Amino acid sequence: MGHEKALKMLIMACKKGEKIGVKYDAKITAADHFNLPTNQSIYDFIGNGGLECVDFINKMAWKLNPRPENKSQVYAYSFYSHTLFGYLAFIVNPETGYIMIKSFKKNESPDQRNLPLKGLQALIKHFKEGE
Amino acid sequence: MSVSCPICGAEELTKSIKERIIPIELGRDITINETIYSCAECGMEGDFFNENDRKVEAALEESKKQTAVMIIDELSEQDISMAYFERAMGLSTRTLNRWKRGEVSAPSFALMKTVRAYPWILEVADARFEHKFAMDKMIEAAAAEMSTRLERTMRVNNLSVHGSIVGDIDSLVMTLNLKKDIPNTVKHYSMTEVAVK
Repeated sequence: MGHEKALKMLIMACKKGEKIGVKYDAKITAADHFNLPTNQSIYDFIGNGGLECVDFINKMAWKLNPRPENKSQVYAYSFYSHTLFGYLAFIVNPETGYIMIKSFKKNESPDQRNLPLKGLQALIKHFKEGE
Repeated sequence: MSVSCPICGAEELTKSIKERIIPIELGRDITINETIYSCAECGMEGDFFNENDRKVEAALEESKKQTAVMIIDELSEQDISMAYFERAMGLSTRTLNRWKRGEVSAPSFALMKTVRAYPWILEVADARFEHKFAMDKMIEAAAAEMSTRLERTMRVNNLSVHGSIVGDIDSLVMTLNLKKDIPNTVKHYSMTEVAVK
């Protein structure tokens, strides 16, 4: 599943409040860093367009999956809530459609989009791919 | 009843009770006992079935009521009466009494916290949010705070100043009340003028 579709799926699950859960650690950081103290407040925030300037980071197979045959994937994104820079990761089980929010916290890494050489890197990549 | 892990599908989940402390910005922290599920197979731990929200909401609601009383009492200690608050903010009479009795909504609680953080906002509201007046009040409050911090820093570090930063900031506050420009003497002060006693 593409990362855009996965994000849409998360937003829909949050709107409905079905087939979605929050990992304990994520719940604690969501409360501490984003003032979202309940699962429902996290769902309402995501479901009502709270994630601003979302940027896909990566997608990988869920490493701790005891049943890899279900092909659960972890999707990671950075986002803003006004000036607060955040990190969001969730696991999607494609068999059941259940989503588990694995991380919801302040993003300590610099925003790659703000790095001065980011544009240059993209340009180099573009030329390399063009060769 | 056996429930399975919603994310990996393992059959057995362990249910336990975990104490969680929710920090409250203006009141006492809340401690609640949450139901947590753990999956032995994938190690996932959390409130998989959204069972704790009601407990957290009830605890936050109770805390909000207590904090509302505390804020109103604090404001009254600063000679900010409930009648003045209501008149300045254009609220109906006895609104604060209702808040104090616990009938406090999320927006009204947000307003109370804002007034507690910036009590001068009531004066701004009283002046019908006139822009120049609002800006003057903000600068005045900032200058007063700066003066307090400077005084504290100098006291802690055993410093004195050539000239008088504190005096000039006070005069800045006075000047702002008279709605004049910031005097150059204040603009030109810097920490280079601070010397160790």
